[in-house]
Amino acid sequence: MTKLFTTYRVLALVVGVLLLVGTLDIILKYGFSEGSGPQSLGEDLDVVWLFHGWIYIVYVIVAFVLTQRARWTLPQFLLMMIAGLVPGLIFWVEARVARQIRAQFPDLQTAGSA
Amino acid sequence: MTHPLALRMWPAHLAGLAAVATAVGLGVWQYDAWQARRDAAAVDITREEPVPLTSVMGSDDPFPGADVGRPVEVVGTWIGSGTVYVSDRERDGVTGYWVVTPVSVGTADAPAIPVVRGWVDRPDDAPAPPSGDVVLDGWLQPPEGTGVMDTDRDDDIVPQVRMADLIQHVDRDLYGAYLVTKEPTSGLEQVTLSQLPQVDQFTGLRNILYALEWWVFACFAAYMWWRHVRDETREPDGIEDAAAGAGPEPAAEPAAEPLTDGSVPSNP
Repeated sequence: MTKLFTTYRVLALVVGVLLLVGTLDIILKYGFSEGSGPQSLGEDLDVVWLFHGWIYIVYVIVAFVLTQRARWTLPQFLLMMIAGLVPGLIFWVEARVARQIRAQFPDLQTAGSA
Repeated sequence: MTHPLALRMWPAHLAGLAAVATAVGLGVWQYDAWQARRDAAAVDITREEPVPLTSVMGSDDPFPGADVGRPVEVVGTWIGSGTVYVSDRERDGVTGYWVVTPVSVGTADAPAIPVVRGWVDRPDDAPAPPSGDVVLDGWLQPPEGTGVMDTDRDDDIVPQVRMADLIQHVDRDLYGAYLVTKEPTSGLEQVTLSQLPQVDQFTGLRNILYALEWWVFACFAAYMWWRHVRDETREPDGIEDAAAGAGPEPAAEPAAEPLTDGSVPSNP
């Protein structure tokens, strides 16, 4: 459980950061005129979506296993899933999940924060 | 026990179906984009400006693999007597012949390169072989040769554009390549290239990875759907058993009072 919880938190952080970079990418790509410096930087940053997509799949699966272990409901899982798609949301959801998991499994109190 | 097709299960079925269909569809879309990209990249080199043949390869050189389909310009002289007909060539569903005439590259007695002048349905319908000096643009193609033998070496019909066969029909050295002319001789039809350039294996890599990603996701959505239906339709007394066997370490975790909203009741 400790490993699973830590994995979830790391993945959530990575997905969250990649999503922010991806959002920046879209702003640069579509917010600047064709051929300008920021625009071409946006084109180069496109690849971040590839990483986001694959890591997101792993994140969703880990989140699913975590909710199964903790015996949470489907809406809980769906919230964790959607959090990986809305920029910024995942940081709040991750903190919330961590709080609930720690309350539910007191043994993690120390291990999880390491 | 709820039947899997009970009315209250239908929203779940619809959501599951929509999720799977969407993910599969997006995967197919990316897969199509991947193919389109590769096809476009393959055609790109064939649209470049022609370069002199002699700058791409010499008459004794092996075929330059990177130049498949590259437009080249040849200045030379037709060798009309060396004309052959390559059999079993399809065009718009009709089987016919390629009309191939060598061109000596540079001076009249220099090594020659076979030029596919066009397609005809019967050799008798082909216009008379050309003669004299010529400047032509064509696409460079590697010689064929998959082991089909020329069964009748005395006629001017060959099964393939194979240098070992063609050399029998012309008293000249041949390049290890042939050309498909950009403008077919009048009376002949345009031939499409049989060999397009090799596409870099990384071309469109991102698209195929996206496609795979969506399909993995479709599988996951289908799994979620199946699980949800199973959980909803299971006999009530079966829940405890299944939950106990769900995790590898169920006993090791003292399930504390869950604080989650709407979470399952704690163990008795």
